[in-house]
Amino acid sequence: MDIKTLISANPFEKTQEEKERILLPLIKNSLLNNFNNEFVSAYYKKIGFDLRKINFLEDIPFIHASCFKNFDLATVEKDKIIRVLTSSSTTGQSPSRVPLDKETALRQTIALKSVLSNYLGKKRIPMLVFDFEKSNAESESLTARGAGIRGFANFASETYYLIDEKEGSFILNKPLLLRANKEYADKEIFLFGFTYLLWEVLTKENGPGELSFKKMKIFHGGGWKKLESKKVSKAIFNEKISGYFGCPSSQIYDFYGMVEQSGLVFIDCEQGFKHVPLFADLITRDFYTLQSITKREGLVNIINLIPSSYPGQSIITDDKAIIFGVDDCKCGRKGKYFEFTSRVINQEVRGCGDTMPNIK
Amino acid sequence: MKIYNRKNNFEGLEVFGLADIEESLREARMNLRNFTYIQIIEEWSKIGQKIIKDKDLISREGVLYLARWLRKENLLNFIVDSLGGNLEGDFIKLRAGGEMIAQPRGIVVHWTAGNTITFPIIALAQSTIVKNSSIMRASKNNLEFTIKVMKIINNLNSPLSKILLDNITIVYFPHEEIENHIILSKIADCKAIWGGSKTIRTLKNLPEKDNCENIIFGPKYSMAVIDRDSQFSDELRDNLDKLALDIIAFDQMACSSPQIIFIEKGGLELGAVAEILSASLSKLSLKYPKRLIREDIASKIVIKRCEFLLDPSLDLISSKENDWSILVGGEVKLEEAIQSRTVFLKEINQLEDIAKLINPKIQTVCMIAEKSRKKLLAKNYFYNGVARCVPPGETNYYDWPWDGMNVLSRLVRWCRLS
Repeated sequence: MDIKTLISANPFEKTQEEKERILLPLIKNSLLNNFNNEFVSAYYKKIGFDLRKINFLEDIPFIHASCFKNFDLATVEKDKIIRVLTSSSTTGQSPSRVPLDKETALRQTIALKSVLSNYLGKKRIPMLVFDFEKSNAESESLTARGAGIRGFANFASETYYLIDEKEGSFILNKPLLLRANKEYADKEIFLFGFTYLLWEVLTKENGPGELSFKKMKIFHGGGWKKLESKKVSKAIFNEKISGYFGCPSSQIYDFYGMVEQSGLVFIDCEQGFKHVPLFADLITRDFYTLQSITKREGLVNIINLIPSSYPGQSIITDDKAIIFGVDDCKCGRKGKYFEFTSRVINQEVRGCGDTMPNIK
Repeated sequence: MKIYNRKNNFEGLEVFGLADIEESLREARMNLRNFTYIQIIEEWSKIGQKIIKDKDLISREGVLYLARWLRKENLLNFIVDSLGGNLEGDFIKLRAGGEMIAQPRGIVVHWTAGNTITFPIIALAQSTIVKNSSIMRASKNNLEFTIKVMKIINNLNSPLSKILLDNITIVYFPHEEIENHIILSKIADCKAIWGGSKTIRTLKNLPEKDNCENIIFGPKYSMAVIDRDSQFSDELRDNLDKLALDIIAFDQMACSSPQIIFIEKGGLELGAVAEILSASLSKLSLKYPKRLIREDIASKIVIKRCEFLLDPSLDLISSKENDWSILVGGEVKLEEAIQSRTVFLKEINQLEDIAKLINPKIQTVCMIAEKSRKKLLAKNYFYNGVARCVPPGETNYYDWPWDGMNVLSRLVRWCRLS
């Protein structure tokens, strides 16, 4: 099976064992391309990289997502790069820069389509974007938000941007929303937005009761760190958002994704778990042994077949998740199912030893 | 807050204020008055011997060192060096005429950092030896150990052990309960505060008596240096074994824990030193397996390892799991500490050049250098801010002076008679 066929296949049909058997040789083969990058090449040489020793997906050497901030990790010639995705960099650090070639961009689109059609069906339907149009403006670089909008927009028959930016503030275009409600109250429609933005804007609005989008599906992701600091749980969020739009909370889907793995989204199933598609895997690693674990919290390591222009085949993150099971989720989807728990939080230094030496 | 003292057999009692405790401590202090320093030291020495015999306690990190620190000889040296050689606590003649005598400050309130379980006992010993009463605000990590030692003292059943315990109250409350910190601060004649930046800033600014003495042991950073000649010495392996022990102690969270090692150019290759150190760390990790790793530190280690693997000019030698890591190479500068058995190893042209990197936040330099250079290097480092230059294996010893202070002298008032 070639990569594109695998990516476009039903993402949740194969068992974990079947998936790994198909995925491993394809990923192993794609790793050789990483030697084109001087940094990854140095990494592989230092660890004595040997393809023959990679017998499981967890054996693939990982790169931390934060390394995309400090290293140019392109594995293709500069003229092959058609776009650079950048992270939102909310914590005041430099943003991640993820270079995409045509092949990666194409695979991302196919991959997203393959996963989303499992939730939205194959027919295009209207899309409400809970963002402003400029987020998706044409340019050589694109933010994570822009990439998300662009990816989901492939499913849209029509696209409406619900947010206006006025003097740095986000204003909800209420008349447009009311018009959309009139038109699509009983029809299929989906909304895409960033979790934190949805919360920030809608908590300032009146409601619920004004709107009724009975068949609307809402996809949201990103910004949970900020919401957790405000003690907003998923249940509170869902109640507020479903109340505002007048749709059942079972039609609100939280997704987990990252700019370093665009095209790959993990979406909540009806049981409240996230699932891993056929062309990827999610490993949770023990904080000490760094070995793969299940049923308890570990560091998220994502294995992904999509990238061909950067070493995204195995990326470890600061996120924590729990894998609850394999192949037996009640929703019927095969493979691993998990729950993203939170980010690793930097704790205060309480000892007399300090980490910052007043560097001159 | 919960208090633990002799009256409640150190079982803990919930209280809403410390007025009664303050009064009983001030009364109890008068009973210490007639004992000499030597007598109090001998009592603490007996406590040390009991600790050694307790199988549960002695197996814990730092406890063997604590027991050694409480030896009579060590404490006698401490007091002689710190208070001018007077073991009876009498007047000392001044060369300019007249006499002076050390007197306790009164009630010392201690806030110790939670990274070492043994430090509350050291703090209480040094405070009571010079006849102060003490309130120890224990942290979650060291409360249980402190109480166990208090119970050992209680079982001594000697007249002096009872008086010592009457002069000690342990308190515990969650660190965010600022109103309880204020109660303690207002009682204190002397505040001894150990901790990180935020803790220090909060506690030293609480309301206190006008003449309260503040002894601050603030956040510090430590390092190690190896000179050219020592790299060819037969003792290098042994020295690196000791340095490795310094690195892993207290999970590298103490102010004295080495975070970075500079080796002087012209000796062994950086990689060769890294290999020897890796063997030492590897041996130690088998002997002392890492019990816990904080998630945020685990994540920082993973990031640093990746960065050092990706950068062609740097290198990494580490255990397979998140146990120990040597981050090899990089420009001559200090690095943010990662902790938990993670050390930077860099080359520098000359050890004298390190003086440019030093500031008063650097506490200890573990020095592996030829004898002839040690004093000169140390003077240079001290002038720029370093407080201690010590050999490997001793970086975490609580010796004196500490953090640039003669601690015992700060725990007393010096009174003049002419």
